[in-house]
Amino acid sequence: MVLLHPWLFAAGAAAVSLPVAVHFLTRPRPVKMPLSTIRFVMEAVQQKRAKYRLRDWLILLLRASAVALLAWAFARPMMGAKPLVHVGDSGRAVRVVVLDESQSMAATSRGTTAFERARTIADKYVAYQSDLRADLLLAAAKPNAVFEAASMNFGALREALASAKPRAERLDVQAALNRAGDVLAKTPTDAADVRRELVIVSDFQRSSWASADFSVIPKETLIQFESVAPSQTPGNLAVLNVRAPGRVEQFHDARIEVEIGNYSMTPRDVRVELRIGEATYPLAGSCPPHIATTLTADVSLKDAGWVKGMARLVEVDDALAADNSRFFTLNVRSSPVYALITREPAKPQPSSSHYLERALAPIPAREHRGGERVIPIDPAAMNHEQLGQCDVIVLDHPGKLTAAQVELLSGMMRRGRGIFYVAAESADVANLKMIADAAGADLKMPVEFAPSRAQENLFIAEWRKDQAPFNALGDELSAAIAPLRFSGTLASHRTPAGLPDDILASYSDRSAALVITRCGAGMLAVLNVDLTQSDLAGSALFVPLVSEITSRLMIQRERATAACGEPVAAFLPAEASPAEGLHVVMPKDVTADPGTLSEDASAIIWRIPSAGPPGVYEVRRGASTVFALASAIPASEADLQTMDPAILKTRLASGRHVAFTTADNDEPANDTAWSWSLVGCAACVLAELALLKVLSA
Amino acid sequence: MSAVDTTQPFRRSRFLDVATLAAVAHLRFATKHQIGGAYSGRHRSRQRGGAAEFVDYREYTAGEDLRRLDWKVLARTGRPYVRLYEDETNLRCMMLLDASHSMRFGGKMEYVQRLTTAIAHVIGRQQDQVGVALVGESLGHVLAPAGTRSHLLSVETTIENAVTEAKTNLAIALRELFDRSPRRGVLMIFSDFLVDDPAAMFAAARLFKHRRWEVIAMHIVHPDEEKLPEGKAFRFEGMENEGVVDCSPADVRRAYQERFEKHASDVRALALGAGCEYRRVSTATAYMKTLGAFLVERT
Repeated sequence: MVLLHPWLFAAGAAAVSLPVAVHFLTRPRPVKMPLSTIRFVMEAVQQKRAKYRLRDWLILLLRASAVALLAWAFARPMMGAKPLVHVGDSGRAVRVVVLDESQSMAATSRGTTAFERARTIADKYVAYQSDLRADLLLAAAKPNAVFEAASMNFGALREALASAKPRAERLDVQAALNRAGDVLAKTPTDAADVRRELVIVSDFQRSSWASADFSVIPKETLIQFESVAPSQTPGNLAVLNVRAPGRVEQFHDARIEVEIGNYSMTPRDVRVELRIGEATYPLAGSCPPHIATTLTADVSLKDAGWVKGMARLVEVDDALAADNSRFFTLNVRSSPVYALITREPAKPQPSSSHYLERALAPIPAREHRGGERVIPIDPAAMNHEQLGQCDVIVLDHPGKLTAAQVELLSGMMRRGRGIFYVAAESADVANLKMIADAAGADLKMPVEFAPSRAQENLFIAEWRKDQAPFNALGDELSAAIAPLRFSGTLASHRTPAGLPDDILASYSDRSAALVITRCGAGMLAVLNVDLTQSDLAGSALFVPLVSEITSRLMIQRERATAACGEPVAAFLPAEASPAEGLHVVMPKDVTADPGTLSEDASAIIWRIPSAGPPGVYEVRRGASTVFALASAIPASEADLQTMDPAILKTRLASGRHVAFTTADNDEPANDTAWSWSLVGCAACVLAELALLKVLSA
Repeated sequence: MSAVDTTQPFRRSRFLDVATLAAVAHLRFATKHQIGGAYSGRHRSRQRGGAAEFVDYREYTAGEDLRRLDWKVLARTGRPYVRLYEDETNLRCMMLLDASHSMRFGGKMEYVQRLTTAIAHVIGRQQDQVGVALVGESLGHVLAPAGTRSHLLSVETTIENAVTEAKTNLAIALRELFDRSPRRGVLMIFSDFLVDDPAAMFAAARLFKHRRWEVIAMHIVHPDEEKLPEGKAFRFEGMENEGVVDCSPADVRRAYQERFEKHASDVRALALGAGCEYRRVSTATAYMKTLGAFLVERT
């Protein structure tokens, strides 16, 4: 049980002395009088003394109780958990106050934010107290302790508390607990009588606290959870994500998906204003409760390069306003460029590479409207600059690659480049083995290829029609695949480490026909076919199949979004090289660590220790943007649902002494004591009147 | 120790209001029983004599004085009868005043002084004998009944100058007075009877009854004694060193009244049991009214 206004109870307790004083001060002053029959008075008094003394004390008790109950009612006792950490407790103590600064603490309820309520609560725990050392931990993505160890400089603690404000970050609970554990562990071990106290003031958002582990806190620590979350989770809408699935190309329609989270009890109709560059696109839709809804818009972008954008919920009234808008960036690319690495001559002839080149760029590129381009590269001449300009690297009959070439290819693949390997020779088997070895743990091929067998007229027996590239080829796929016959394919056998789902098509001899495996940020597609000995190249299936394979390979996991407060390591596009001459441009009015740009063998890495507040951070060369990163509030902060206190106290507390109290006043079960106190007060007054009437009669 | 200042010259008592007493001039103090006085008077004597008022006849028995034989009756009836006569004698009244401190409460003592002075005056006026005895810690000043004017003045003075004492022992005083009162008469006891052992006192009074005295117990009470004074809180102080007690009269009034009435009824029962006449006299009643009511019954 806690008192909402403890000072009122203190005043009331002092007021209890009033009826006592009144009782004694208003006792009638006796008039002296000689009396002849005093013996009878004495006998009567002796008989009545016990009765009237009892009456007097009962009346005094009832009056004092009435005043005390009145004071108790005004003090607003909140029934429930008793706090484990008391502000006024005497004795030597070390106290660490963890104040949640995450974005969810900015949620508004009844006109005030949870953070302001938290600040008030935290303030009483960092008030001066003799024999107390305290530290304040402002916790968000990274915990920030005011002092390295607990201190008696309460002024500094309160100053830090006064300047604290919610940050657009999630709460890294474990980091905060680890830090709190460190501070508490610095208590001198020789002081056995020192009490360790940990006070956590937070909204105990479920998404943050579900995995908290308190085992890092010293075992004898008293842990006090002070919840500032309202009893009823307030409704909140948020823009959780903005993304463009697939490759955004100039002159092509691009689909922009805006993910809206509705964390309220009722469906909500929402309107979204999607701004990309100078253009604005309105979106509207209905969002069912408790799930994320994706609204889409098809946009056409004419200019290649990085564009900034923002999605904003329009006319929304919810608990957390900060997550109603979200920045994003798009890398609008020009038409894809393929590097075709082959030993075969570039002149038109029925060769494998010729078929491939024709399939990769079936329509010649046109000026001002773009189009696919294929750059034939001799394996001996390929280098980082050439490959860096291409979107997909296609290998067909490359011959035996050197280790350096393999290293270059695997490095580019790990950093997001797609490799399309058409394998048919024994050299390809060796090359794939070397690529797999070079990629190391990043590449887990589902099969290992072996040299060609003398099997002919194989056909595709199994294919994953639900996955790319086959899912895009329509209902006629079976009819198109069935007549195809293949010869000169490589044998393959399954590897234990690979995923079977990466085998997208198999021949009738159960060897793999098409394998697509992720490798770091890029992908490796292996098409096990000799185009010259099969009728695939001549079928209607070939061009769309190659197109779908390359499209899938071009879906890069390019990091264009960062969570505020989290560390960032982003690979810049290959065309951004060299690092010299690049500079970081921050959003207006933002002063944050811009991070460092470092160049390794194949790419430039932008490392930021802690992503700044929401906005678009750009890397420019001169006035040209070579990379843009949008910093945004973590989506998890939008869900304001809180942890069940029982879970906190039992499952997560790891056997520590914990208590959970809430500052919310709307809990009806917890807030009835005051009314019962008033009833008790009235009962005392009535009982006094009745007692006076009965005993006087 | 009750005392009378004998150095004072005789004068009429300040408690004697002769003009007021004129209202009871037609009344007289008569006894209800036969008494024996030293002189001839208007009160019935216990002695049957010859020169007094004829009462009855009785048959003659051998050895009787032949002077009492009624010869006329003997002549008419032939049977000897003796004439019987009743003597009239004077009244001897002894007034015993309780002079304890408790009698000072509410002017009870003054009331008694006025009442006894008036009674003495009435008795003196009818040529009877009156005496007074003051009882303090012991039997104090005693004036044996006499009928002279100077004695009457002495009685008045004794009553007027009566001084109360802290303690009183009526039982011992009565026994002492009994020893000093060989002749019969009327004994009037004026007291509040707030004594430790009223039974012992009335046992002593019974001695007087055995000697054919008429004993009248005048129980003097004050209204505040009957139901305590009105007021919020009092510190009552005992008048005979009983100590003090703080109380609110309203809180104990009922219990007090019960006790006081029990005391009064006990005194009445003891008095009647001892053959005494009992009268409860409230000081709220004017003493002349009390006197008038008393004399009306006895005239």
